[in-house]
Amino acid sequence: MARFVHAADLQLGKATRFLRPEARDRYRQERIDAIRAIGEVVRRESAEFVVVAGDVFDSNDVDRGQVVRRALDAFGELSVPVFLLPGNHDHLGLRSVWHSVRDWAPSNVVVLDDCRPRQAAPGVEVVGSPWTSKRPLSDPAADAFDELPPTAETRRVLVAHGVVDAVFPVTDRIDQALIKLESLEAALSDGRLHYVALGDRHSVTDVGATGRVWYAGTPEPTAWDETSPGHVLVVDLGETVEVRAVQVARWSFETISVVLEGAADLEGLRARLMGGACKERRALRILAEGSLSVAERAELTEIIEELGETFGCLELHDISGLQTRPDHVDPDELGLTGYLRDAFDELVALATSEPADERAADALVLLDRITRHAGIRSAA
Amino acid sequence: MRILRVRLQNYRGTGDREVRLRADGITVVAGPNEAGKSSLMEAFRLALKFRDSSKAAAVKAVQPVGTDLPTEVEVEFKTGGYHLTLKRRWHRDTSTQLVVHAPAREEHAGRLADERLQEILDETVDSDLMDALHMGQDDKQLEQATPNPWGGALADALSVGRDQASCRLDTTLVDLAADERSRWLTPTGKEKKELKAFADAIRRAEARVDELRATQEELETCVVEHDRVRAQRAALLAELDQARAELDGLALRHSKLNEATAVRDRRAAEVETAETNARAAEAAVVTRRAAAQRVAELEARISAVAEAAAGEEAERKAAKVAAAEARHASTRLAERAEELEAAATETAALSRRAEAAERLAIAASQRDAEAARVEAARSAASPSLVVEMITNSTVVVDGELLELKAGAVHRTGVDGSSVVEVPGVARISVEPGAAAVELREAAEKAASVVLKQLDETMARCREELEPLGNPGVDAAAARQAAVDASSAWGDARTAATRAERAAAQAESELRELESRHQRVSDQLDQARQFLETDATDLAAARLESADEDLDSMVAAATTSLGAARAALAEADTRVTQLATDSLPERVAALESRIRDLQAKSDEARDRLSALAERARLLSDQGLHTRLQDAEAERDALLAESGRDRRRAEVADLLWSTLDRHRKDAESAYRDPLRMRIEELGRALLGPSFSVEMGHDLKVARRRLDGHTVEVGQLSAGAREQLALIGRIACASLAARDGAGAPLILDDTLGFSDPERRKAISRVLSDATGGCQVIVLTCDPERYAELEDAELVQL
Repeated sequence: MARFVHAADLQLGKATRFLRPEARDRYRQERIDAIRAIGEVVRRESAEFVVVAGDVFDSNDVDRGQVVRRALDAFGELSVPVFLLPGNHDHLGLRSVWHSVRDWAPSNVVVLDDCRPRQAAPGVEVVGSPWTSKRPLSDPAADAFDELPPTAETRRVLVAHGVVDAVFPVTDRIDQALIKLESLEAALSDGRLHYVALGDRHSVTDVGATGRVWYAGTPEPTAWDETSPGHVLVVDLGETVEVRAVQVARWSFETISVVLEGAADLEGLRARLMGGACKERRALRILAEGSLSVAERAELTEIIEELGETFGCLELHDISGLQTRPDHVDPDELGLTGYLRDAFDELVALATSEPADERAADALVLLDRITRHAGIRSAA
Repeated sequence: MRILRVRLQNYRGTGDREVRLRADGITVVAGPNEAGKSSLMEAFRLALKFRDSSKAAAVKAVQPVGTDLPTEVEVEFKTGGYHLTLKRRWHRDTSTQLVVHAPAREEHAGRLADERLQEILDETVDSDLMDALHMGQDDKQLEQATPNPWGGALADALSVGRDQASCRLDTTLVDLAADERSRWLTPTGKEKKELKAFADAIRRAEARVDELRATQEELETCVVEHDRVRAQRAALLAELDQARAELDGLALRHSKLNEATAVRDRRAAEVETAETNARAAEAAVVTRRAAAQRVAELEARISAVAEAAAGEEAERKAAKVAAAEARHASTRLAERAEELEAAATETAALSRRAEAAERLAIAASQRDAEAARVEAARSAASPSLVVEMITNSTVVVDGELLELKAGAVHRTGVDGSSVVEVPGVARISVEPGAAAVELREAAEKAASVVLKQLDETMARCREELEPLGNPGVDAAAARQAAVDASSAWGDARTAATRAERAAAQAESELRELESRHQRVSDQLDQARQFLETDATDLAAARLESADEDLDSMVAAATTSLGAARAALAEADTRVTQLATDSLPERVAALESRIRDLQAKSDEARDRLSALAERARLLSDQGLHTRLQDAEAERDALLAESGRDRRRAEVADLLWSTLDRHRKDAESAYRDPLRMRIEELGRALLGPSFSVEMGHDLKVARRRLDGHTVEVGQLSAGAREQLALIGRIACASLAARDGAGAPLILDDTLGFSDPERRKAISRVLSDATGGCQVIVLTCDPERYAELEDAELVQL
């Protein structure tokens, strides 16, 4: 029985746009730190080797110093062999990042840049199916195992990258060839392969019914639409296969839904946002619905702006369900008469019309603010 | 509003002062500078505005300097239907008392007083108008700075506030909105530097993103193109390999064809050889057959010839005998002929002599004849003896022995007598007759002449005969003998000739036969020789190869010819098969294709290096990070600028809404105001006076005596007049509306000449009926022309 770690889609060098500059730099570094987290898993689980199933780097254009060398240093710190597969982000085509890796790779790093089976541990060999170009025309996995003879003694791990037809029958990447689950399962059943380590999909996914075909997902999440990202898989490969997902992510991408119906809800939101650990590694999107007065609406914006600094990312993602009520601004209280009252009424009409002019609501908030300001002066 | 009374205590420099004002009509408050004229109106406004607890600077400022005394202001005024007294004490022992005298009595103090006061003010006071109608000393400053103090004052009343003591909520709001808006936008609504700076920064950030993305896209294009060309080149190389393999195949096939062609050529040669062999075998058979036939023929011929030769041999022998016989006969006949010839010669010689003799004789005879004729006459009938031979026999005529042959005739004249004897057989004698004498005489007579001639002839003949003498024979006989001999000779000769001929012929025939024989013999010999040769050859040949062998050779040669032809046909088929699809053309086509593929592959290789080079130039190793950062920066800028822009939009919306409504309110003033200004102005300046109002309720242009002048171009005095007329118009309009506000003129008309002041005073007097006019002046003379004015001297 051999134990190894199956990771994928490290996408080193990636930084999402919505992060602030400071957060982006941290995020980039922490993706590299994910390698060390994998190393921790290796130590804890006594894994014999690591495979990374493609998209190790986010692009062939990643910075060679800040990303590639740092990443290789981190890989070098791992005490076991590491098999890295070029994927669609870091394919082997022109200006491939792997050309640099070849020159700088520490001794334990093996780039699976061809389909040769490689000894990974006693009785275990790894065969990679690298992306040789940006747009392979055929099943990007099939080349690696089609011609291989079945093995009786040796367990064989296929490391491949791409979309499996069974998972996404219709890919939106129309120029991308699909990996055929049927041929993977055929190879698994006739003993050519014993485990298929897949990359590309950022969510941990057990593909098909064999329990031997897995997407490891990305060890650090990259977007909000990923399902259970942030894992690597610990695979026990013997006569049978046992796969465990181990959490390594430090970042989280969360979307929370809140109902805001007044000041109390705003306070609740504020408290919720102020609580929680490691906010600087959380990318939080808020889906808000309900209705707020113009002043409360202004306060919501203030809360987001004020607390945004503490998060990796904090944004109001979808507030289409959030109404702004102008009723909070009382023209009588503000002493609006005459043409001021006429102007106020017009803004209210705009703010409450269908579709509502949000600027009108904001204008009412502004009117409220400057009126109070003037009132304070006036009172003073 | 009507201000009825103002009482000040410890207000600025004033200890305690109360001024009562006329509710309707003009009150001139006169006093020297610093006497506190302006303070009256200021105190009134402060009392209305600031609570007793106010720490406002404006309030603090009114406490007498260096004292700790409370400042007290008591104002009595009417507004709307209310008649009020308000008493404020600031600074110390602060208090507020409000007494409403009418419509119903109320008394309020403190906060309640403030609230009630505010209610009443809000309900009744047109604060805009109030401010507008206060033409104060500070306005005078403005007047100097502003071309149209009056218009400015009205506009200020609608828009200025914070810097003035009279801080009204609405104007403040419009102003604050304008301030908020002015953070982002210029008065004309253009984006200010900050937003523009954003726009510029965004443009720069976007340009940066675009640039990086363009680079990245080009790089991507390079990569994709590189992949494509790489695959294309691989395909080309595979195709090239295939084409080369095909070419090799064709070359192999070509060599096979060559081989097959060689085989075919060999087969053809073999066929030729076999044909030759077959022909030779057949020829051998034919030759053999011919040889055999020839041998047979020769044998047959030899036997035939031999047979004929045998026949001919007998013939030859007979001929030989015959020839010998004939020769013998001929010889004999020749000998005979020779004999006869000799005889004939002799006879002939004899004959010739006889002839000569005869001629002698003839001559003699002639002489004799002559004599004979005489004699003839005499012996005219002298007969002739004719001996005719019936058989060959010797005849003696007149003693002359003659051998005559059968048929020979021997004639003899019978002159006297003649005897013919056939020895052993008969003798015949002949005797001449009587008439011959007469004849002779006649002949002798004729003969005498002739005789002489004849004698001569006879002489000659004798001469001839002389050597030999006379033969003694009769010429005729001689002649006859000669003839006979000659004839006999002739006959013999003829016979000899004949015999000779016969012998010759026989000999010839013999020779012929012999020659023939010889020929045949030769032929036979030759034939035998031939035969011997041929037979030898044939035997030798047969020894070498029997006839049956020759036949089987022919059969074998035919068989092998057939086989060779079959092999040739096969080789031909093979060649045809190999050469069917125009091999050279295909090779040429393939070679051309290979060149083409090679060129394309080279082209692809060059393209690949070009792409790699391009990518190398484009590929900036931090491109990915820089693009992400640039996009993030742009997004941040967009978000920030969006927020600011949104703020600007919101501020603009608020301001423009407020401003629009304010303008609408203003326009309610504009036309009545203009008409009133023109009415007042015409009273002052004549009927040609008219004005154009600006959008801001200011008088923009004055028209007088057909001349239109921008307000800014007018003299200070004229502007002051316009300002005053404007206020009077305003005040009277306001009074007409019932609400109204006091027209306060604080040290005005400083710029007007006395005549003009008088005129203005009239206008004031005429126009302000129903208005409260408060004139504050240090120089009451200025207003001396005012009618019905109450003077309050401070």
